[in-house]
Amino acid sequence: MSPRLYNCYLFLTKIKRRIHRKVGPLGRLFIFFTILSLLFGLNTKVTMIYQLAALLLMLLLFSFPFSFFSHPTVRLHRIVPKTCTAGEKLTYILQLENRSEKPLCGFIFKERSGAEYPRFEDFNSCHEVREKNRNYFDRKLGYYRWLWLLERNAGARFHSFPLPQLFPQEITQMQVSLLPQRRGYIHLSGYSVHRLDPLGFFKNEVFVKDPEKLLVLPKMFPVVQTELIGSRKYHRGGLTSAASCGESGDVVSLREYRPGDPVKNIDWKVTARVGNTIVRQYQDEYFSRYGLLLDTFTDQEDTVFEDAVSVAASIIVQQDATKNLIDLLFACDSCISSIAMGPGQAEQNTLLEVLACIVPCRYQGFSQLAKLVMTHTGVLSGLILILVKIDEERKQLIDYLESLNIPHRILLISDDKQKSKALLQDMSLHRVRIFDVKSEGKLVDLT
Amino acid sequence: MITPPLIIASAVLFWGIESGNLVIGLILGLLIGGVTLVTEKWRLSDKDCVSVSDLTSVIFLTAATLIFLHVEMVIFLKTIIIWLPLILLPLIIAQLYSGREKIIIGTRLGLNRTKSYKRTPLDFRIYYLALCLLSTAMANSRSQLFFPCAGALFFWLLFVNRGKGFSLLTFVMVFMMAAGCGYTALKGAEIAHDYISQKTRKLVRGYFRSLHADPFQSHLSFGAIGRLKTSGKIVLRLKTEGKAPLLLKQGSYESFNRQIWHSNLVYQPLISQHFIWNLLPEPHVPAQKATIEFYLPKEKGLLPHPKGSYQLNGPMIFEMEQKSDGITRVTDGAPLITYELFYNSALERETDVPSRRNLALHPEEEHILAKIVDNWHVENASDKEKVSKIRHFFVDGFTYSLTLRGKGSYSSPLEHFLQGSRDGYCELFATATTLLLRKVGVPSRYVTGFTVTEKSRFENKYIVRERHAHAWSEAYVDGVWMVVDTTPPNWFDIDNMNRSSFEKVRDFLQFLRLKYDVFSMQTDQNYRLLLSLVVVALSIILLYRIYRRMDTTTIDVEYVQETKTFSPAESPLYEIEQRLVHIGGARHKDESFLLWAKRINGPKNIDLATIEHLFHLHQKLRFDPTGLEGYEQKQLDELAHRWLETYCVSEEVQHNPKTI
Repeated sequence: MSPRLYNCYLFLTKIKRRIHRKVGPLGRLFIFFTILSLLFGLNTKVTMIYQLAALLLMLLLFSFPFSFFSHPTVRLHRIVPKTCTAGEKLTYILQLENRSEKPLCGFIFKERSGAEYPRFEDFNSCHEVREKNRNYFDRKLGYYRWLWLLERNAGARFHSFPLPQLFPQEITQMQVSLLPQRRGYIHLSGYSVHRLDPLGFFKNEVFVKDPEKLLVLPKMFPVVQTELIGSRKYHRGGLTSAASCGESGDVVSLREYRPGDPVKNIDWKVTARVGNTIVRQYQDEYFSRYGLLLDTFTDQEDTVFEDAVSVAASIIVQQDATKNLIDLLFACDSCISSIAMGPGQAEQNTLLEVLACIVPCRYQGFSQLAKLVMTHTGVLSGLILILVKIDEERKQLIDYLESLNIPHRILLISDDKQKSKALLQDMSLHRVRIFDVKSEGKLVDLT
Repeated sequence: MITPPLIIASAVLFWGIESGNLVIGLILGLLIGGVTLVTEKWRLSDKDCVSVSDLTSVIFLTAATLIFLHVEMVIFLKTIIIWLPLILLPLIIAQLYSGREKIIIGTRLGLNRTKSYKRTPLDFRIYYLALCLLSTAMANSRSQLFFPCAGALFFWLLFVNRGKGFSLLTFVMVFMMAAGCGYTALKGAEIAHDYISQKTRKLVRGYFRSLHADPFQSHLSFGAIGRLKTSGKIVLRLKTEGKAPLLLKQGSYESFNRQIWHSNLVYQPLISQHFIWNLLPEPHVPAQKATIEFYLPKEKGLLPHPKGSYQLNGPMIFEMEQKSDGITRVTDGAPLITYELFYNSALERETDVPSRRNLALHPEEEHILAKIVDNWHVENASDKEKVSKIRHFFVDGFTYSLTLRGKGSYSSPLEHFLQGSRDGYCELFATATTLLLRKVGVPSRYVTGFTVTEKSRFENKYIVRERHAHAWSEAYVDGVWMVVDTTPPNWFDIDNMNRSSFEKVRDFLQFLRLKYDVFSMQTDQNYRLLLSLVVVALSIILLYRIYRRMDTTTIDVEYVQETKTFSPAESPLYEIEQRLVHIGGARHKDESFLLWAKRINGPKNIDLATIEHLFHLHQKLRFDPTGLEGYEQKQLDELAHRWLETYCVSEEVQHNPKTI
């Protein structure tokens, strides 16, 4: 994509936003038709469009000065929740107070996004979802990509809400809403209040700076799940230590050193006091610990990746964190991570926040994540794999899990069910289930 | 933005009246307005909306084809715009009868249906209304009612969308003032248009006249600056058994004045016998035959023919006229004429003798030419030697160019050409040659026509393009008119260098068009009607196929309203919440309902126990899948009602203590 094109779109977007702040939807439409009428109505003999042009032009000219007469004297306060879910309308409360001695009516409220304009790097490298389906002209010009980036950065759709009539000194509240479009954080820079001129064309918008931050969780799907796979495993050191894969947990007693005990278990203070080498003995406990592997190795944030994240979030929400530990295994460009959820560990919200902000991993290979899984297999009672594609590396991991007889469930997120089915048959992976992103009633089946 | 269906219905009716389609307008108006009366809605998915777009596209293409077949090209676009309210009817009907606020407009028309991407929904109603008004204005009824009716529709639309912050009186005042000024403006526009038309009429007339071959005048591009644009459009096809004639003559002119060549010879009608026209008086000496296909866009024009043409056989030519110099024009013929020409280049016309006009020179030009000719010393030379001298003059130092250089620092473009730039195109060479011939005493004339050099790729014919148009001189030497073409011979190659890379494709399309034109002219059938019927039949099949793909069901409006208005906000706690805002102010951020109630209960007694009880009942109502038991619901209503009564009264007492 050319930098000139980027600069052109940036310039046009800025102009468009300026116009939108001054002109209402009806006004914009009337301006468009006025220009059209002026162009087609130049010849007064051939058509009567010039009559429309004259009327439209005068209506616009007469209404414009009135847009400077309205100054809102209403005090607003909005109560925005901290989290919401992508694709589901978020309704929150707006408190209003008329501090003037006159009744107020005709004001319109609109939330404002605090998102910045897309950067050239993003415009150049990111691809709109299903961009390849667009025609050559659209792909080359990248206008739809630009629109998509704007929408993605904004993160939500904001609508206008007419405020109710407010009598002098009246305090009331109303519900307003926004529609989150994607997961992750949404920044709200503030809100605007305006009133239209008598003909409804122009407005005098007042922007109130009131920044807010909103976490949008991934979309959730219903999960069908039988008793979690696998059996309880022995975790030396009990629940807390097992969760952290160490032996620094609850100490139940002290005993003399026996050959083979780890040196790190020696209690040096007691050893010094008693004179013999004393080691700490930890409480042992049996419980279940499950791994949830999210395959993030994809080139772009397409529907497949989004649905993979949603499936992971749906499974996490479904689990009982008081009884089991869940390890979320995933990779990002900077690290290969494992975050545990359960008693003494991170809360469910932390994992959901991670999933809300997760992005595709472009610069690391799946084999590194597979290594992490292999190091965890000793403590895991079972593993759920959410894959975005299937290849030899992934097959090796599946074969490895089967060779160790570790209970596992595999979900392959696919946008071409038939093709994926054929591929799985070719690779003899009969236990892999396909999650079709094009399906209308999406369901995560872990039975 | 609100667009009531009745405004659209009125606009369509207005369109029907103004465009002279009252019955259609009435039917459309009833269809659109009828949506307010029906109790059922169509359930249309996004895919169905795309199918409706497909339907509309097919209707549009059908309408465009029918209009193309039946209407002059000049008013083709205008006619389409006038019929837009009818063409786009499926879209507006789909939106209105489905009750959708926005519909998806995007057509597939069978082009790769598997590919899909996100489409932005659109509220089509306001656009349809605007298109109706545009179509009405395009119909150009010149009715005095147009402005008031359009104004009334705008008033209606703006009234429902007006800014509520201003009074109704303000709205009416502003609108009336704008409408009054609008009327004044339109009258001013009419006067201004008349004034400008009068001022520019001469200019426009001159421009259009220069676009077509004129039997009496030939305008030159002498004074212009820029570059000649050469078109590859094929204007003529020629088939001959032997060698094709190099030049086809179309017009000849004797007088030159102010960059214009004139001819004052009078045309005489030619008489035909069974479509055989004698271009030269008999007896004829047979020599060669050529068949020519030539487009006559206005069914009349100058006839291209080779030198010595003596007979013409053209069943598509009905009337012709001829001048004494042999220039022939068709005054009535078919748009495409095909004629057989018999010619013998040795034949001469006895009546074609020079007059004094063929020697006339303007003093200004004579002065310019004298500077050149005075050094030649050809006073005693024969006419042939003089012609030869002039030919040699142009061989030395003159080049061919399509660049128009104007007159530069010289007194005239001719002087600039002869003494300055010494480059130009055929008109300049022909004009200069003709005038130089006259200066040395040889009668001459300026001739226009075409050169024939290119063979067609698709048929065994020569083709002549617009860029093959040429001009040369004829000198009267030893009792015959001889061709004196001094344009450098590489002019054809230079012209060809500028041809378009799509010329082959264009040639093929023109070939197809020629075949179709020949076919339609040679048959007596009314193919327009037949083609129209085929188009309509195919469209109906397509429409049916698209309609079958749609999965349209109807649903009851009440059901829709019920599902739309369903909300868990049936609890009386919401009213209590509003009351608490009045009593104790708004909730703080991150403050739960009960904490808020406790905070208010501090300074003002609001019966916190009841509030807490009501809150728990409300929570159960909202979040317990089994909901409230009958007695619990009753308890919730009663408690809430009692609390609201108590705290409404106490608040009123606070506000109006005198009423107690």
